[in-house]
Amino acid sequence: MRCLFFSLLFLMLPLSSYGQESEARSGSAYSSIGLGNPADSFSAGTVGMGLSGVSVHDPYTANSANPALWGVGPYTQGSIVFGLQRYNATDGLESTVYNQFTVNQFQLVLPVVRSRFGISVGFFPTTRSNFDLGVEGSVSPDGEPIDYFNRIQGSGGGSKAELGFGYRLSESLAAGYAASVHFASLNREINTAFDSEAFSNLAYSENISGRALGHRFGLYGRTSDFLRNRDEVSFGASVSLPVTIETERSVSAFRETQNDFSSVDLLPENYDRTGEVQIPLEFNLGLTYNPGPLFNLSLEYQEQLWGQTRYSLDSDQENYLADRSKIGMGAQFHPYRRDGSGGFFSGFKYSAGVTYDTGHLMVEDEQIETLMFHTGLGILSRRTPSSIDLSFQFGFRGTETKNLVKETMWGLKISFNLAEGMFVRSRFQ
Amino acid sequence: MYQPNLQNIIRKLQEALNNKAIRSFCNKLVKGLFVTKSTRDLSGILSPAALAVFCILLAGCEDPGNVGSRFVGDEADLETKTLPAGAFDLYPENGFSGNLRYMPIGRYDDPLFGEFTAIGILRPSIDTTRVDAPVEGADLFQLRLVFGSQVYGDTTGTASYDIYRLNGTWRGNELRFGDDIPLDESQKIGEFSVEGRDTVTVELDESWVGEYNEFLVSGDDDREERYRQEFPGLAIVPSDGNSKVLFADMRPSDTEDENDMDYVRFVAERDDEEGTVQYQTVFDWGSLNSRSEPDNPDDHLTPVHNSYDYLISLEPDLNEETLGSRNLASVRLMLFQNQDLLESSLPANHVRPGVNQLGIHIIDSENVSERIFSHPPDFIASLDSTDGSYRFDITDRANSVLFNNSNSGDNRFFISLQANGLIYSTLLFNQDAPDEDVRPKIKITAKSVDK
Repeated sequence: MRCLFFSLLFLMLPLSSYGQESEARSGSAYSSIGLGNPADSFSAGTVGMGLSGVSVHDPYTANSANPALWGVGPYTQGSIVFGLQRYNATDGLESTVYNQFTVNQFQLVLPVVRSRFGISVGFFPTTRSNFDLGVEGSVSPDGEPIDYFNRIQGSGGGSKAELGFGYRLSESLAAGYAASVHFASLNREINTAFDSEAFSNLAYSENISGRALGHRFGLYGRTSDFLRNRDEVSFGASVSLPVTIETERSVSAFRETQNDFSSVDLLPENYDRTGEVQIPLEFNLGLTYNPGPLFNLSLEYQEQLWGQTRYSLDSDQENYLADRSKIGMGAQFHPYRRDGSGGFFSGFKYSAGVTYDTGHLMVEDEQIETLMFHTGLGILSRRTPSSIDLSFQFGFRGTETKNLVKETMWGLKISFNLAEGMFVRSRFQ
Repeated sequence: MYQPNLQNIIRKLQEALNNKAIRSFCNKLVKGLFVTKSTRDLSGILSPAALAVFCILLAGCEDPGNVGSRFVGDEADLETKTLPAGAFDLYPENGFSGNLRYMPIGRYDDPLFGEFTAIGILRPSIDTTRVDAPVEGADLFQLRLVFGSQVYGDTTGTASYDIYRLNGTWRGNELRFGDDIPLDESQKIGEFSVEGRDTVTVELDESWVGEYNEFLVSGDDDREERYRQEFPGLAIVPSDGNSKVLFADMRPSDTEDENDMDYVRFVAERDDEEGTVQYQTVFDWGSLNSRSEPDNPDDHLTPVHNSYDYLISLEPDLNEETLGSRNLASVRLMLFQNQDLLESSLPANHVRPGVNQLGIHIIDSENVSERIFSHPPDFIASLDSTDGSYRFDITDRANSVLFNNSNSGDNRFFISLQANGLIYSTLLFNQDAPDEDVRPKIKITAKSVDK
């Protein structure tokens, strides 16, 4: 299994380029705004509920939502999550269908001191931009209209490489911190084709890139025998501080001159190529109740202050950004924890959840909301604590009102969760 | 368009997952992981191959479109601006008038452009493979003139011409507009009249033929050089009252069939039993062109002639600041001719060959006319008869200015017309035209990238 993990990691590295810098530029029109749509980070064990898992402690799967939980688990954990989404988008006039394959995240948690102090290293997307949009128009430099088709294909987004630790302060309280390097990388291929020989087609590339440091804090607490014997209530919170990324913008194209055909820089020499984009302040709150070992119920609230972030590269797009609130509720059923062997259906972990999200965009006074239903199936290894989690999502985003885009989404995620039995045992204890 | 990209991903995934070693490893792993029979069965469903098939099925159902295109903007950030193209400068250099495809001969007083006079000059070859003995006695030596279909002037009148001996040496390649070579008008060598555009055969005077014979039969080593320097040839001079210019069709420089009788030839007709006829080609030819000032020139209009009475240039101010963008969709230099005046200025049955194309030569050195005559134009524009405009697509030039710094030298735009011996003229509105719309201008359409 250790080999599988590294095989998947090896496989993921080239594919991760498709996840963020994809040449496959079909995706949500909403992701053309700013750095793209926020990429929700789900812990591998709670992806089936559609929750980040900020308050869910699962000793067998890596938690990506709350640094505090890295100090609680006894096992070395690793996870890789892949996703495939299918979108059916319509604006009332026409509709389109597109698919998107993503590498959601990978993470490794090492318990330096078992159930006391652990460190985590991971790579997570923060936003995702993939789109292919075109618009027809005409220009009349001499009175006669000349038709054109302007097409913009975009890819990229934000991501972060994160290193952090969690520390269990007491039996019921843990805290954690993570430092991260945030990367912003947007690529746009613009092509304007004219229906006139007197006009040259304008094809050029715009690239925006930058990086900055980020910080995240987490807190986790739990108490047992809260309402009944052997039950447990846990609380989790995490705060990601806002990140300001200084970006560098370049615009290049191939142009024909009288002497040659070469790549040229389209920005004026004295043009200020720098810009500023921000990843907003984010906080996550979660409450999980375990009435017993077989069942847990979670409630989460997330707030991202996109409305106060800067996107200096395009003031129109910056004006679309709005604060985003997300609330979710989910439950998990663990029949495999029963003593004794059960039937066929007792070998799995079952998850279900629902989330509502106000969205991070406000277009023409319309909030681009998202409602998603989630369900998951965990397939567990008998000999090791590892598992494979499959999850399915279905939901809606946006609205057709005012000719905006309404998207119906289906998704499949698969996470490979590897724990101590098939990974490196801690040697520092 | 979406599908191939995603299919690439899927193919990569599939290739990786179908790799024998990895697949075998996965099988072992899954079997090791899921030991119960029931779950092992399920693991089969979840095998990488099954997932890949699922992905492919999903990917195959894409239906791309432009939903949400409002976010890319309706106008594509296209901007159009107009620059003045600068002033026409008259450059004091004349074009060449010799050894062109057509040799103009005649005179026409054009109400717009003044009186144009063209004297055709030529001399026969001394090729003895064609004319192999002196032309003497009762032999005839004639000039056979074949005219092209074009006429400049009165199409109904009869054109009369006199032929004289030239009194000076010349070379066709060096003749320019305005050159003058003295004639020996004391002795007429021949004369003829033309109605319409007939082919004409003119008998040439014996004395001139005798002079030609000396070179034809000479066995001297320097025969050709002496002929070039000492034999002046003849001049076809339009008579008084001539009101049209005809265009003798000379041998194209690239033809191989020199016996082709579609072109001007000298004809030796022998007084023998067979009545032998021999054809001599033309060794050198040209035209002595001149033009008088028109009666009432309009300061707002600049005449342009393919006879290159003078050269006309512009120096548009092209740089990053004036262009306004480095992302240029179209940069067009626009010149306008006075269509109405050109069409209304001629009396009935009078014609003026029209200009259908203008060229631009960008020249940054001396010897401008040599350059124009030896190189094709950098830009060509055809006449748009709806508004009398010539629109040169100079986008490549503007890009050169932006990206190759091509404007560092003295780069002037010289207006050029095809020079083939036919006489074309037009009237361009210049920078002083009262109507701003028809002044020389540059129209730029660009897409902003520096928002």
